[in-house]
Amino acid sequence: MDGQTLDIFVMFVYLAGVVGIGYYSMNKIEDFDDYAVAGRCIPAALIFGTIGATLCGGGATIGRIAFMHKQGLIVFVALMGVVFCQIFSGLYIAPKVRQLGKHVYTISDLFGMYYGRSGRLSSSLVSLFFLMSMMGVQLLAMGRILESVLGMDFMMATVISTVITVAYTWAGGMIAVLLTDAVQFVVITVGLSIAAYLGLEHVGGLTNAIDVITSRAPESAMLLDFFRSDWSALKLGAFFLAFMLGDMCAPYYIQRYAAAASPKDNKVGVTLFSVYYIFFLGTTAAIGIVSLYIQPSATPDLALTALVQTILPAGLSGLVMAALLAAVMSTGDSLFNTGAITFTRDIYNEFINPTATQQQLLKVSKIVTILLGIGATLFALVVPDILGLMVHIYTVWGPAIIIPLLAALMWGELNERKASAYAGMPSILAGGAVALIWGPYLGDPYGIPNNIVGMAACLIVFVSVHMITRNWTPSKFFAPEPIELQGD
Amino acid sequence: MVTAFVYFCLAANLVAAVYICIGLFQYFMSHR
Repeated sequence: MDGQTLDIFVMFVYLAGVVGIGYYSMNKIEDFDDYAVAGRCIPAALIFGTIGATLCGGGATIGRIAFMHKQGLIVFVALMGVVFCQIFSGLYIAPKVRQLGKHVYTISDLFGMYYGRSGRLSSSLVSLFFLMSMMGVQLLAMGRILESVLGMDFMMATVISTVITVAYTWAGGMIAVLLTDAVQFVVITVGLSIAAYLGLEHVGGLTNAIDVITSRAPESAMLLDFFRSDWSALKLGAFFLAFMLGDMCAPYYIQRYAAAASPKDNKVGVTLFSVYYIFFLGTTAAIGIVSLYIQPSATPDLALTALVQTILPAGLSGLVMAALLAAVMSTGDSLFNTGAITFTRDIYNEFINPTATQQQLLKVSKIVTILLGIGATLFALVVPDILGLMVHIYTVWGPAIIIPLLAALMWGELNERKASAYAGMPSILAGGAVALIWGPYLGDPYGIPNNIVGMAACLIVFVSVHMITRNWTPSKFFAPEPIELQGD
Repeated sequence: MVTAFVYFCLAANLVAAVYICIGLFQYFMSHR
């Protein structure tokens, strides 16, 4: 068996395993609750695994090494924002989401409980926009991996990897997503650890690699500065905030928090993961340094896959390629599943068929999963950059959602509803619209990043509307939905 | 120092992988 055949064989074994889990999960699905939140029985270890697999996606692997080639180690300073975000979520958000009971499937269910149908509709539209955009990024990354390993046509590779991901997500819903996430997380961590270890052996140790890189041209040495002199504090702060707010309370996390067996499982799983993520960052930083040493002029987006094929023996390179594929597939499946559940729960069940049975909801969410697969594939084939777009989308999500959500969950007790129900929708629309106009449309005037301006707009609108309407009794479109708390 | 941190990161990866494997095993045992 030659090297490439062995690599392909290893990847095939991995893909067959993932499809096998999809088939196993399909037999466990009885109703919409199983399909959307895995029957709400997921222990802390699998919460850790699924959050990990979702967060350690294409952006955290291929995109991160690409960023190392373009900007250097400074990205890892900004990425501490993700660590802060996850610690906060683990301690304060995730347990509360699970406490809010058996009617929470999506982030919009939370908005419905505090801001009525107006909050539900506006937050679900922002969620769907966010998820659809991210799907393109992940599918593109999947296609690139298959293209570089198999030498396959890019378009064909994207379509094949999408079909596999959609197939097991469609078949097994959230159960399949959680179980494959756990397996994929193991493959990612083991695969990247092997890549980092053998990479460091290949370059004669980390210290040697750093010495050689810093002795090259000044631009090359600058890539190893944690605080580059040509980056202003404002620019670094903007990246930090983008990473911190970008992932906070994303729809796929809220759905996972709702799937946990208890609030305590959420607290343990998410907080443990947030601490572990520092070590994951250390691993990818080491791989980035190895890549800069061996292939300083590599094409950034292809650097990691090229590195793996250069330094690893046959079989192991197949395993690490499978790990990269796992990274993007596990994020991709989250997006398909959460997108389908968001549409089914917040649009179909709320506005089209409010009396739908569990079986009807299950049927609709399966159909939407397939439609999302087709739509996202078309989107993926016209979007070029991996991390660039993720940062771009991050900046719109935070300003629209974070403030009204934190006001709902953090202000007083969960069933107190201290914030005015009228403040939700206007602040979501204002935050999202201002961030979109300030960043992508105006190009961040005065160097002020759009996430800061968008958050400020959201906060101003939220506080203003709250002050005006705090004594009003919400009705109709703004009437909050009931809260049924569940204990710890 | 830096090298030691990187190897510590690799060890943490393996510990995390084992933790997940135990979680998966327990899940399958309780959902047979």
